Amino acid sequence: MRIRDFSIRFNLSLLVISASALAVLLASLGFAIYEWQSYRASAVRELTALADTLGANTAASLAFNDQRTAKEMLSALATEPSVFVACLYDNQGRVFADYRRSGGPNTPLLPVLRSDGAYYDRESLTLFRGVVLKGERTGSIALVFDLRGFRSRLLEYAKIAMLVLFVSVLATFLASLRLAQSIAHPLVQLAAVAHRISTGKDYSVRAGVAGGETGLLVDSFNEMLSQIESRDRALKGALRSLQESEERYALAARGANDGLWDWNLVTGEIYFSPRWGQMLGYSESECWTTPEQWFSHIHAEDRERVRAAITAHRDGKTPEFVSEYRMRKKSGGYIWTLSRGIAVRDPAGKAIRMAGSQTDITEGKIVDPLTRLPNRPYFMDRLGSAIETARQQKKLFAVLFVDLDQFKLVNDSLGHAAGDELLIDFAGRLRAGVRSNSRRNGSAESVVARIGGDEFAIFLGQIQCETDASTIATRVLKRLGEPFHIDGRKIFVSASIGIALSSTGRTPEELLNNADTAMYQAKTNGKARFEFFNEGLRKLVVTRFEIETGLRKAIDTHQLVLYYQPIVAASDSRLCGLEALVRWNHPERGLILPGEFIPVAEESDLIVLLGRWVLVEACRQMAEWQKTFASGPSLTISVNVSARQLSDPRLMEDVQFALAESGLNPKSLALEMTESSIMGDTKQTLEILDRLKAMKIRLQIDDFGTGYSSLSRLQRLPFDDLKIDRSFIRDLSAGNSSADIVKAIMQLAHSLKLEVVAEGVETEEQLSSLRQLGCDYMQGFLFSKPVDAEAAAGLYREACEADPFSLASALL
Amino acid sequence: MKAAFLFHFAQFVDWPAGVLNSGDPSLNLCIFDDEPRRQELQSTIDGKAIGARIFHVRLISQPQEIPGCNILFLSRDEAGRQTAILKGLRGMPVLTVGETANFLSDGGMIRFHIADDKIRFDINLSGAESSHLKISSRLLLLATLVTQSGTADRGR
Repeated sequence: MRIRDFSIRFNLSLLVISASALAVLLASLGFAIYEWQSYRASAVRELTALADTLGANTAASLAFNDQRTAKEMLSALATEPSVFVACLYDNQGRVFADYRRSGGPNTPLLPVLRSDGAYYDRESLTLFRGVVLKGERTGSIALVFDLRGFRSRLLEYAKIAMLVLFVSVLATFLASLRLAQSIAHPLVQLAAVAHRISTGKDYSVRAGVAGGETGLLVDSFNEMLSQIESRDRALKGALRSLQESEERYALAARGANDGLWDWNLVTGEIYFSPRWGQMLGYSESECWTTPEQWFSHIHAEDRERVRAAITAHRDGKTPEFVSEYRMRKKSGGYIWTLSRGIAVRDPAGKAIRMAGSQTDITEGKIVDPLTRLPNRPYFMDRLGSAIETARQQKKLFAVLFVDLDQFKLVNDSLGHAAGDELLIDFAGRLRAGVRSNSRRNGSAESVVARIGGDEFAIFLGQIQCETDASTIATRVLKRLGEPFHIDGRKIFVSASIGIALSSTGRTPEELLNNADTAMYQAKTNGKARFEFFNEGLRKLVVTRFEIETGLRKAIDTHQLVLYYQPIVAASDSRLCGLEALVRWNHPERGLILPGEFIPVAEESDLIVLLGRWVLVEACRQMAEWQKTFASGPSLTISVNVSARQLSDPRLMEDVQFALAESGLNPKSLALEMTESSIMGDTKQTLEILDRLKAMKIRLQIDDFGTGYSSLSRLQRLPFDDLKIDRSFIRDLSAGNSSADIVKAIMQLAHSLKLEVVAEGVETEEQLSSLRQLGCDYMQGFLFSKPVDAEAAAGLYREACEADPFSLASALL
Repeated sequence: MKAAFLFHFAQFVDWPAGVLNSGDPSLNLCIFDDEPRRQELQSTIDGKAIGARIFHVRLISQPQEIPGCNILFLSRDEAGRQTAILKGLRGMPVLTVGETANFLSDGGMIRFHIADDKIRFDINLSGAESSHLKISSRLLLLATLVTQSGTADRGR
């Protein structure tokens, strides 16, 4: 007790004394440094002013080589006691005049001339400065300043500082003795009380009273003791009521059919209620005792997630532990369970125990609530185990992917309720169609599941061959042939089915994807049908995918190029226009023709992007040529517009942009569109065509004769030209049926005030036949195949250099 | 030696504002072209800077050419026409420098002679003042004799 007492007081005294000593030392040092710095600065300032005055006064002496007057000038320094040497130098560095103070150091040396500035040594400060006369340096001056006086003054300061230091240390020592006594005494008493409590465990003891902050400490200490005392009592009560509520919960849980678990995190022991075991098919005698038994029964895909949830709650990051996961039954299958739990923590917040319940939620997990069919996760699970069995037993099974063809239409036009009704009815028909098969084949297992909005999948177990699968698909399709009665209406809905046999894939996902791919193919082939998946199909899908992604990049990275095919007048073969044809300059595959990528582009938004690019580039190129060949004929540029572009509201903007950007006269632009793209719809198409026409753009019907044109519509549409499809021209020779058709088309066109362009003209014979029939323009290999921009420019140049008739001879 | 001193005199003299045209930085020292040391003068001091001005040595043959000069040096050889020239220059802001014994009484401003590499000179302060030239006191300190009377007085 005495030692502790002494040590607090000793430490306090030491601290106070050293602090005051340090303060005095630092203050003295700071003062000395400041004094030295400012003294030096003022000395330099003073010397500089002196040197400048002396320099001005002696400049004339230097100029006129008058050492006598120079010396007189310097002797004026006698009034400056600190300057003991001055020296004037001429421009060659020779001493011109000097001054030495009597009473200075015995034999002061004249300083050697240095460059301008201040120089220090132990006893002096020497300043060198130029003597300048009207901007011309005529010499230098040096002044030596005596620092000894200042040094001795600093020494005096130091002596005083030491004295102050000694006095202040003595004073603080005396003061600290009293201070330490008054602070340390109550603390020492407090420590004694704390010691007594910790050894006696008697929380009713209280410390004595003291004043000031120490008094506050004593009060807080006593208050804390009171709190500990009351908490001690409350804890004991709480523990009792906890035990009671636990028992109540156990009773309730048994009633709710939940399994219970209680895990002592300190010892690692775990308790599972009998109901727990029953859920998984274990008898009461087969009870578990370790957490590892629990985790090992959790489905491998869920296990880490459950562990993480438990850890998170145990570390206090979540208010409770909740997790849904699958558990393996004794018999092998899985059930879905919902587990909840909560941790009991020690006063430090560390979890020491976790307890909770587990409920069987399998029913809700695997069934689609709308159609009451199994859902996707269940289906994939089932598929997984089927693959396993099929591999072991070398059995064949099939996966059917069923997709409603017009579901979106029903949903959008009749509403979601009708859509739901349709799905329920549809699910029933699927189930019925498949079940009748199961009955016929006896043991064969099948599952019908809803795996997406309007997507269904059928698992057909143990089929003998492809035909078994196609039989079912046919039957399902047949059942769909009957109308659905939705919302008081009769609706006809078809579906497309893709079938994948188990031999085509190794994982559930792969099989379902394959079936999906086949379904997609069935849709492409006309819907309301089924297709089998095969490797060719996969390749087709892959190629399409590659083209689609590649094309998107191609537009951005300028891999697309335009080729141009001349269109000539039928009468004299003079060049009248060029049709822009897009080519894909693929970095690996070389030049790809549009036939390969346009259909892919047409199925997505890409055609709009592609179309826009072609439009802008074609207009730009033609405008450039027209400027270059201003003296020649004004050619027309023809650009193809797809059906999808026509129905895209951005088409008008794109056309306007292309014209504005290039400055091309709209009369020089022709847009080609096929019959089918204009006949399909509607008011909107007509409106767009009218607007284009109003802009003075030429409109052409492309590939005429391959689609279905309504003559009455054709009459109303604002077209200028009609391009006869190459298939008619190919077979053209005088007197055959093609000639009759071409003749009829021309008559039709001319009566509709349309000019006729013949595509695909390849022979002289076709040329003369077409001339005879009154064709207006021609296009084909006979004149030129599509050529790149450079070659096209060459053709344009020839057309404007020669008279109109010589181009014909050049081309022919 | 003489050349350097002529240049230094210019360094201690201020011409009245307006005499030295601000557009033309030249400060012209004129000597008659029969001066035997003209070559030495030109090679040592021509083109040197005085503050913002450039010092030029100009050779003249006629007193009529004097109006373009700021400093006129009359050597011993010009003793014959010295009196007439100085008389004509009275009141004009041209610093006149000469060597003859009666240079100051003729109205010249600075008379100097050289002995042992040292220069001795006398200054006619009133002559300079009546021409509105200001001679620095630092130059006056070095002068052997500074006279307040001279041609200027006589001219009154």
